[in-house]
Amino acid sequence: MKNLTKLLLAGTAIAGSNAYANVPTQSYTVNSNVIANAKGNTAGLDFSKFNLSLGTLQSVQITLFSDFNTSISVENLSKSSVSTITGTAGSVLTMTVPTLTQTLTSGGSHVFTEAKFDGLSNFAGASGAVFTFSGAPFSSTMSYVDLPTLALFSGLGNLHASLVGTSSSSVIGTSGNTRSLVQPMFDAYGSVTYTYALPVPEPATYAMLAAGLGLIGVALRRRKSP
Amino acid sequence: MKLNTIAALLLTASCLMATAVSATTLTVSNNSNVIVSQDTDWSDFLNFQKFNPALGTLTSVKFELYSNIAGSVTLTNYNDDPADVPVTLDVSVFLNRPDNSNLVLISASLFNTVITVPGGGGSGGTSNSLLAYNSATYSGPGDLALFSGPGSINTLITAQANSTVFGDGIDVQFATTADGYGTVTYAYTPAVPEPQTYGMLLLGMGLMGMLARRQQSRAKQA
Repeated sequence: MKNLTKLLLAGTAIAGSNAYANVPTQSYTVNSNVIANAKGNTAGLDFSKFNLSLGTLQSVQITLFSDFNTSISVENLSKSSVSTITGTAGSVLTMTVPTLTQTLTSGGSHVFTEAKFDGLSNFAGASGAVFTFSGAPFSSTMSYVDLPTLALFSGLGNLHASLVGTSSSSVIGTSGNTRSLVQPMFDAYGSVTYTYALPVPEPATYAMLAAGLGLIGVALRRRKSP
Repeated sequence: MKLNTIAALLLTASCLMATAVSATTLTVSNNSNVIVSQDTDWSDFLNFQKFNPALGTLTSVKFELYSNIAGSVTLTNYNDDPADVPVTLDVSVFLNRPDNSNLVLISASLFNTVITVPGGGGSGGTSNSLLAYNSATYSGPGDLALFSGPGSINTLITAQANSTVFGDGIDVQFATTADGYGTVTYAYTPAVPEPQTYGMLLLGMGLMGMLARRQQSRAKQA
């Protein structure tokens, strides 16, 4: 009898501490479609919404990605001197849903030193070159906890986010005899990480548990007593 | 009486000479060689005749630098839409002393404009040419010494261009040429006669005066 009561008390204590001190949270991540060429207005990104049956959504973390692969082609046309040519290229992705706008800026610059004109204006040889940006994707991450955003990302199906990609570039040349061509190329994709709290049992559920355990106790006592 | 007149004449003459000499500044100009027009960037030498110290005392050196510069940009827009393309083209021409310090600097802008280019392979562009000029005058002892003496001196002339363009998907072609030449003008005080020279002049005039007196007295005696 004493042992049973102890067990009951311990069980309730464990359940209680879980429910009120540490709400267990979990998270999962969904990936969007990939827009291969994101310059100009694009089809947008679709994210699978949070499944409300999993628990209570606490935060939405959005990461935008872009592989920046713009190329800069240059040729020094001066028959007199070498030329130092500095090419700078960049892109801006702007993702919009009704409750928020998130941007991602990518880009970089490259310095060319090209010899006197080799006679062929072909972005190659001694006086020409092509540089293509490569490397890890650029990204921007933001977390949102406001209720309108949490509501927007919850439910069935996909959330559609509009996306606009713009690009800009500049080429600065010494010698005043240069040819250049910047060809923008960058993709766009995103991921959303949903962080949520597991459903917590209601006080009534605990009462049922306690009642059940009590009944088991009573049954055991009745068996012992005869 | 006559003697007094002669002495007065002598005095005024010498005074006149002295004042005239100290007030006069003369100049002499020399043109350099001409660097023919060529693609920027380039460096070459302008050769200037030095000042001949026998002419007098050099007081200042003036450099005038000229450059006929010409530039153009041609644009081809491979985007679907028309593009507004900002372009600039600037040229600097430096004339430097043999130690590479600057004597004269020309900074000229050929264009700084926005060109609207039709999309789908459309083209556009602009060009400009001008005679750029600048001058500078030096009177420091270092420069007066540097540009005095026999023969000539080489000064480094450098023409540099800088182009900028903003815009994606646009084939941009800049072309720039420049020539270069200059003029040096030396301002100097002509050589002033030495005191001994005035002494000789006085002596000579005195002798003439004496001769005239002797002739007069002879004529009286006769």
